[in-house]
Amino acid sequence: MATRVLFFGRLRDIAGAGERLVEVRASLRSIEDLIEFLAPEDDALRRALLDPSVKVAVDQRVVARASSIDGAREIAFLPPFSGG
Amino acid sequence: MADASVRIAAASFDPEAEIAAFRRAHPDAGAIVTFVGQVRGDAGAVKTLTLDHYPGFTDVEIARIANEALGRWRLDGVMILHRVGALEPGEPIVLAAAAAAHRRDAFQAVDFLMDYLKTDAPFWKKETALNGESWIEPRASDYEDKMRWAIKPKE
Repeated sequence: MATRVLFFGRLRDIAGAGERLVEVRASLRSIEDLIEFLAPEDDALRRALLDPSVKVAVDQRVVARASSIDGAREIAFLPPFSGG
Repeated sequence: MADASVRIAAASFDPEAEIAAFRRAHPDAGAIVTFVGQVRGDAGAVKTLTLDHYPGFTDVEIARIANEALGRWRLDGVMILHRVGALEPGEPIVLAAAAAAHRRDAFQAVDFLMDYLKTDAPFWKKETALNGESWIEPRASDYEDKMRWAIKPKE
């Protein structure tokens, strides 16, 4: 089952798209593994996703980076919010 | 029963009409406080402000902020209406309103809602100006504003 990976704000520009479909295999256990998988040759994206100010939501819940992504349908990378 | 109304609008809204409807919905309130935020043009330097959001997630997070306000003050209701998409200078971007029996609760609730919206509501703003595009990130002062509410008011 493909997982939707979503990029918001400046991350959308850096990733070049708001969404990517990824096949989460057994080797991808955590958010950290996913980042390495998404950006093996894109250092700018890798650094942007690893930035500690970026929150990660799995199925619309904010989680820690070491969290499992097993069975995730949607994983979103959220840079600092600026509403109001 | 106090109610929270949360809406995300993709098109321009009329703050006066929204405030009138909110006021009519709370005829027993002694105080209605409203805040309207507009896009700053910075004397012609800013051309467009574009707001990105995460449908399904942004609405839930804003509802949480609204419910937090209902839990902190004695309110009849709160409303948050927030724009997304492309906005021009002078356009309303956010409307926050609170209805209460007495003014202090309503004033504080709106102040709180705006401080939390700045740092905790999942929106991302891109400014298109004469000198190019840039993503706007919260300032240190925005986090300091939010910290004012770290201690809950006494009952």
